[in-house]
Amino acid sequence: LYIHYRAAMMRTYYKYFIWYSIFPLLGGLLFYLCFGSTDTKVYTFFGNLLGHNLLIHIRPDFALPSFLRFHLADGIWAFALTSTLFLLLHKEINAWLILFYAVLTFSFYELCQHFNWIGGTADLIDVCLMIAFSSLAFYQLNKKLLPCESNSYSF
Amino acid sequence: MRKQFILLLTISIFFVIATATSPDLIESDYDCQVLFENNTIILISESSTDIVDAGLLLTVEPQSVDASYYQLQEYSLEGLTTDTILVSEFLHISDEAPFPTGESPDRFNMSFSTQDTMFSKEHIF
Repeated sequence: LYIHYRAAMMRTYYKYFIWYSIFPLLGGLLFYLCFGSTDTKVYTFFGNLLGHNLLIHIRPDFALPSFLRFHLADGIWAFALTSTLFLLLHKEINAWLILFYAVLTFSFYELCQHFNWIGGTADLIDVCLMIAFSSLAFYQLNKKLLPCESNSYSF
Repeated sequence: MRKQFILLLTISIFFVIATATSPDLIESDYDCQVLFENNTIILISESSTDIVDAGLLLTVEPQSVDASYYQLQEYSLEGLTTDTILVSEFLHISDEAPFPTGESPDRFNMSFSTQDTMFSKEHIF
């Protein structure tokens, strides 16, 4: 029965990993390919891989509202980062510490942009939105995953 | 040791992904890109701070045969507040606009500039 529950928990982990980590990451990448700058490594990479003509065709001919275009992808990235850290490490590290590490990571990322160590432009709205998305991932996983685990442990 | 390794590896992977989706500083010297899609000038950037108070400059191609038809050869729009500008609004925004309503050159240059950067792109309608 323990093995059965362990397998069930693994399935749950995989499910959350796909929906909370992989899916937002792929969605974010697609978002960048469709609405982002064509002057990025990821666009060049997929352009070489799939063909630039295909990428031009998948880019919609309408413009999303500025707020979505500038900040949504960053929020999705923060969501995926927090979820991945949580799913991989929540048994070994305090959950709040995971949230702290995630916030530290994207704050450091924006700081690198501010000092021009990496491409892009530092933006306070980005940081605020990433904290919001990160907190959302943290809240959702705390709410959904931890009760499942406590049930399996008590069993 | 294992948890530190997982932590650092995960953060590094996400860092690389984020860097790959940002405009490259080494290969180009600007953070903004001007696109023309569906009769709309779209300024694409990684951050809205690139757009605020930026300027957009339109220049008629000197070698264009009909360039002399237009009163002004250069027209600029300063202090942008949005990243999506309808071409009609940009070209015919006032009486001083270079092109009379309904008249646009087949070819012109558009330049986008911020305090630090400058990007030019030729557009052919």
